[in-house]
Amino acid sequence: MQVTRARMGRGGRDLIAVGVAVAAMLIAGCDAQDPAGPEDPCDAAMAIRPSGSFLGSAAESDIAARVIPGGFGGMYHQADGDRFAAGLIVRLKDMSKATQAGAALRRLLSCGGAFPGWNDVIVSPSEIHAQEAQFTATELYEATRALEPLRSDPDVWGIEFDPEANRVWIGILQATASVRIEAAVTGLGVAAEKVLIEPPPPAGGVESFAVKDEEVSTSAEPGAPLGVMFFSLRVSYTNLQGAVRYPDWCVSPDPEVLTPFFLFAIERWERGTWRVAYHPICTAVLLEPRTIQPGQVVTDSVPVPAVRRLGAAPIWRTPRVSGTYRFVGTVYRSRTVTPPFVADPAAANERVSAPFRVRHTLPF
Amino acid sequence: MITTTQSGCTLGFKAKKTGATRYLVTNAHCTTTVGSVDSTQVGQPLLQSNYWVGYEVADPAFVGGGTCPSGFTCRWADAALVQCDTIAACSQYTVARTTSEYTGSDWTQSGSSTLTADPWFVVGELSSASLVLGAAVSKVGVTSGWTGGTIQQTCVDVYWTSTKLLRCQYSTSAVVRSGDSGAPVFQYEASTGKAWLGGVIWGTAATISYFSPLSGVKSDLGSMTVHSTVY
Repeated sequence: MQVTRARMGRGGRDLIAVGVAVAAMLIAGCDAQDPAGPEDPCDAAMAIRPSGSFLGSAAESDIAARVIPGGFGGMYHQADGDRFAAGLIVRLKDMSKATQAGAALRRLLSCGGAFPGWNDVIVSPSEIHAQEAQFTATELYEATRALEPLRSDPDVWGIEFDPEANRVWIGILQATASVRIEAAVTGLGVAAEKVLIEPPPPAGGVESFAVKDEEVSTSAEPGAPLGVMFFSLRVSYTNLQGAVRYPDWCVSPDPEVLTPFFLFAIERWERGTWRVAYHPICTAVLLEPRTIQPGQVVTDSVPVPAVRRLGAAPIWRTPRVSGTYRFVGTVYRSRTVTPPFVADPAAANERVSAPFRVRHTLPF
Repeated sequence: MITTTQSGCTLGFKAKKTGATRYLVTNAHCTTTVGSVDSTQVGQPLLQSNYWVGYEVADPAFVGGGTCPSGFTCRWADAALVQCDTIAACSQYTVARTTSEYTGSDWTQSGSSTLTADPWFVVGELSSASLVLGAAVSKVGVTSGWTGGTIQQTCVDVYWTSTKLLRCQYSTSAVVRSGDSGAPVFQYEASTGKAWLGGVIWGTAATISYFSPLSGVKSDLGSMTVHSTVY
């Protein structure tokens, strides 16, 4: 058994984790038809779910928590580089019930009693790693609902169930609002420990890249692939240096995206640091680099196709998509006569954007 | 290196279908329009009349239905077929061989681009049974030369945009850079100079390179011979 101690940032402070000891336990696969308890989780789930269609990850997790033994607190696949790790992380309050919980979850996924369509598409329960949870998904779903009034608070820009943090994430616009929002949370009857209040990152220097905030929706058409999302970023680069710069290209393979754009990565602000969330897949064609003169501004429309879906690419690495991000471009100081035509990468602080927000309107 | 009106790419491999005509395979995205036959002229190494080697004759459209998800059109490979202007230029099933391979994980590094006297002779094909996680593969591209790595993902669907899906692609840790599009993916036997063809490189994401397997190339471009037992 592996035991780790988690630390998370909240309200600009190092904290929470609440001294959470996270125990991990590998649950061996077993027959999905095995009964998981006195009542079949499928029958129990079907009896309480209001419809057969997907309800959103928080509501589906709530249903699972009500029929799976052991206090189900959410599930997700971690990213292993630019692919998903094979083992499914399942958060449980009662680790002694891990085996029963694993069997019940497999049964539930196979019948679509919760997370319809997810089985072996968005999650694979063939290998389950149980990790200790502090809260059940039902407790967090109830907290999410109780926090609805906060959505109209001018300092709150997002509220979302976060299975990885085993918390309700609240994105706020100003760090100075943290204390007031925390008081509002408790005023709505939600324990402060159940939420992860995330203020924006501290102001950086003068960033060369600028990105507008985005709304992201998950494709929800009947029959459309689950766990697939697309959005487009409007990205500007200003050469703030006293010398010419050469941003590298990403060339989309899609014939509908005729114009190349900045080569980039997207990083998310998390626990007081930046974590890679996305790399685009670009073709490996050879193009002459753009020459950007000092003071010159160029703006690209950058398409972002991404998946939280097994056996697909390019992946979005973080289970919670809503969050504060930054764009990291690839910029060079000089060019060469022969391929690859660019050399001498610009300093890291020359290549990042000011933070921007991505709001996921239909979390899967 | 091959050049089209679109870009600089790498010649993938040589092929033969029925009849005497010979072909080259490179990426569809190296042609003027992906998913459309526009007779893109191909030059090696430059796009000048004295360097022309052929023109595009097959680059099928993305199509929906079947196993392609609703709302999408699909293909199985980023590959296009180029008909060679002369049979002699494309008659041997070979892959360029250079003096040394880079198999490290530092993507600022490259393998050798200095050609050896003999090329790799393609004597077989790699099936999906050979392209398993962790299997070693190599590629030779115009920019990063001869590099090698291991298979990182098998048969993943790559979502290009909200409507275009490239099905069942593979990825490797082999270093790939701009200009390597179209590079052949293979396994080799150094002592004999034999190579077994696995697919064609088309893209990168940070430190992963993507390629279309030979099975996908054939699904899109039709049956073809890409190797010989005589060399």
